[in-house]
Amino acid sequence: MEDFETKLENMTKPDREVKPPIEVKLAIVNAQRSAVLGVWFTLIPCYFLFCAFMFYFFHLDYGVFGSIFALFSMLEKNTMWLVGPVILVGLPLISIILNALAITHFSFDRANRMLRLNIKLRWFNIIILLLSIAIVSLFIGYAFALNIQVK
Amino acid sequence: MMHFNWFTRKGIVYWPASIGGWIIFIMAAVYVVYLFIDIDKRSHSGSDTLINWVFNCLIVGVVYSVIGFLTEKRN
Repeated sequence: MEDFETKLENMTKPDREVKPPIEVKLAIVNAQRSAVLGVWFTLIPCYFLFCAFMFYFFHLDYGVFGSIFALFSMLEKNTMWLVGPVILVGLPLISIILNALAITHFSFDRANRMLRLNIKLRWFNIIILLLSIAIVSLFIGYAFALNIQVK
Repeated sequence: MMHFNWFTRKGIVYWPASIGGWIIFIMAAVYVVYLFIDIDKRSHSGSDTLINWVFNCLIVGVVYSVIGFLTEKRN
């Protein structure tokens, strides 16, 4: 009986401490600030698309809406050829990254070996994110369609 | 990271909050006026002036906002 008691006393206790999940907070910048910058970054592509829409869909020009195309073709011919793609695709891409980082949070639950992705429902950020994705996919799709050659 | 506290944000617009912010704001405003005069000198019509000027104003606005974003007053 004594032997049994000493055995019990010498037994190691199980570790009851539960380690908290590791949380990787990817919200590098404040959500509101990201949204504001996203608005500014999508403003010029939206202006370009508005002019294109009025020109091609409603056939309205009055010498106003067609000028934007002349401006961009002038930029292409000059040494500033990179300005157009940077403004129309580059800035919305930065907006996508900023707003995506502002609303997503990753947490790793070590006990269950599970990676959790949380998305905060900040509607302003989500709207800007979706708008930026739409702009980027529109311009990339346009570039693909323009350069595809059927042989 | 250094904090400059040059601007405060109201809505989507950055307003100057210190002498550095005011210098940048005035420089941007003067540049926008200069752009209008310069574009107007070379353009062929009123709409040509406007479309080019608005486009350039938006670019100035983007650059100004990026500066404001990086040097904003934070609590």
